[in-house]
Amino acid sequence: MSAPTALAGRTSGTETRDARIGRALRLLATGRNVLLLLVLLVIFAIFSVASPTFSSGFNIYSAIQLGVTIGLLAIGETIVILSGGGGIDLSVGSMLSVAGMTIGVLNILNGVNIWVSVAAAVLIGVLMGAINGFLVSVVRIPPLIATLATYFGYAALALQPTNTKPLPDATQPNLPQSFDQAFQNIGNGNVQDVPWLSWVPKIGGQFIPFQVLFIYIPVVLIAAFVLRRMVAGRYIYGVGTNAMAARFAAINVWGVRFWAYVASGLLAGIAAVVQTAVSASATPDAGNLLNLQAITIVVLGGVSVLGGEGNILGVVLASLIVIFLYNGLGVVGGSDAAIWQPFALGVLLIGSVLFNEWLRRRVSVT
Amino acid sequence: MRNTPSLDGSLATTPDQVVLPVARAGGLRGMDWRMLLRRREVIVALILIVGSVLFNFTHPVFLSGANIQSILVNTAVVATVSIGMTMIIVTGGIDVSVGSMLGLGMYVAVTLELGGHNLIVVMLACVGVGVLLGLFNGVMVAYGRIHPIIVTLGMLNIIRAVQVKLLGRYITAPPTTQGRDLALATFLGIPAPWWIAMVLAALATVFLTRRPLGRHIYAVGGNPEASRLSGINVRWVLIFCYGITGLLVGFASVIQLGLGGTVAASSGENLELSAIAATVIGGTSILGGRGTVIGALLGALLVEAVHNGMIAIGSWSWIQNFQLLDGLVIGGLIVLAVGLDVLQNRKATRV
Repeated sequence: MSAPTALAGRTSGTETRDARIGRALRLLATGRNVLLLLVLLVIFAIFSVASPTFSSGFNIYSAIQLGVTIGLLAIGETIVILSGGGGIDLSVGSMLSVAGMTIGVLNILNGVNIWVSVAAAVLIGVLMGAINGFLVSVVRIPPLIATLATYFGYAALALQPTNTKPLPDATQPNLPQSFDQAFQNIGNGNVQDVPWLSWVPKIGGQFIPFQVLFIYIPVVLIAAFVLRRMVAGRYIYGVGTNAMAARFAAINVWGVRFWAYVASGLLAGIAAVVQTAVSASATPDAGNLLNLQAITIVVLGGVSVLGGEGNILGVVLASLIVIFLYNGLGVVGGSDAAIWQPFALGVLLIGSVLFNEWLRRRVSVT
Repeated sequence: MRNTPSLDGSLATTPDQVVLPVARAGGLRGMDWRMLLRRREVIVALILIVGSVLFNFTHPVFLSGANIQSILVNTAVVATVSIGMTMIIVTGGIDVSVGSMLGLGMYVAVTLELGGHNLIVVMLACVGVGVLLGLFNGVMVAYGRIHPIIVTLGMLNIIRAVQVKLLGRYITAPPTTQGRDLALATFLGIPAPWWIAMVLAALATVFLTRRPLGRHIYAVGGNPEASRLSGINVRWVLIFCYGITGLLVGFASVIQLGLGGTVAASSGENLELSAIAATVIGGTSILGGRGTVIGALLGALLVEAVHNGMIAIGSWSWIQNFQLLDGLVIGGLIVLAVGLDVLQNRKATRV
């Protein structure tokens, strides 16, 4: 959470050049979110210059509309990584695929009410998170291996019911060809569509996507409040910072970690609802590329992979960076975008951890 | 934390000797059959043999010469890579970028083979590319102090992007090359790639049990801080392990190209899962400090034998694609193997 205590350097009267540099670095280390904001602005500036399409209101609108999914997954990943003990959830994307397919299978193939299907999808997400939590907290399989196994297991499971085909399926005309419009509005509607909110002004000539105000922002606020102010959240930081001390403080270390994985599953379930609504389709491989994105966002957002350090605001800023980096490369890169997006993500991932490490060492030495 | 493995080269590190030092003090009694049965290599070998024989009753083709050859050929690449993966996991690390490395190696191989180059040149180039990528991983882990999963996850995407960019859609190798001849050759009825994997595994075993650097790998995995204080160059050990893995992957890519003949954008995908599965099923502790190359080889065989058996059973009404089967079977075996390992050593792990 807070900056490492090693940062508390000396405060001598005569300020040398080294001391000034040290102070600047300390500011970067403590004010990481300022740095993230700067990076976001730089990315914005570069892509705006490179392509006029990028800075158009509609492009920004759709980037944010599509970005809610990954933003939600990153919040879940943050909670898991914060809980420490090598905590990591490689399966968030795969859980999203399975939960999304749950909606498709129940609603399209079996004619179950759409809202019941949505509830089932979120429940399935919670269940998959609980399986991860069980493997990690009860069986004590290292999280990396446990979630690597479920990453492949869940991804394969999502392919099973339709044999890799998305739902609704245009090749089966006797089945419903779309989801209920009210459901699709979760992903494609606007805040202004809600009757009692039609007075809300447009921003930059654009409506506000429904899921941003009614799903993403509430989730972020709740997550931030729980992590900062509630006992459960402080337990997560406590367990992540020093598991032994937490145990002596009578905190059920592995119980806390179990619930962190369940939270990640819950958010993957909610993200699946948004994703299915926004793309108006339940796609078996919807989450394939999202696992790495979620981890990159969390690390970039300043969450230590060792646990116990990081905050939600940083993760939200990092989400925006990754969303606009992907969108910008898509606008500028044309047909090669699908190649350079993962490339940029990999560089960003390694670069941000290297920078974290360099900063930490530099600051603690100064 | 964990027990530090013995540093004297005379004792191979078996799970029993590390976890139960008392047994070692018992001298010869440590060699009795119950101790032997607790070694993961023996368990995996027994499962493999007993399972194959039982399965052969219902599907008599399973133990035919041709099917055994096919299992061995299909296992060779994973087995070769899992030798390096074992070393990395013993240090407490992991490398998930091997699949992408294999894809890039295959691209280099196919380009050179189309250019009519000698097999030696092709191999040197592939091994060179692999070693460079492996060293990069190693340097990042050792000097950048980045968690290995983060580095290699990043590299997985970077290398794949480069490969796809260079490759275009796919390239087919010329039908007759030395690489293909090597991959499809047999010696004494056993496929050449499997011979190569066995020779490499034997060399690695001697290296890991008899050479100082090999013992240092176990020491670093058991307790990095104690290793550093006892004068081991921990960084060099880490870089070495990732470099060797790159070398083995580069080598395996020539074999894989020889077997398949085609390089696609997806070549090598999921290789990391198979290699990690083979390694942990073979008894290598994911927490570091313990594991053998022979176990990894047997683990690779077990995974492929199960896969092969599933295909022999044929169509399962409720399973529509093999990806699900692979995902569930390999994922299940990993969870089972690591779960057993963790449960057996519950006393050795705290908080």
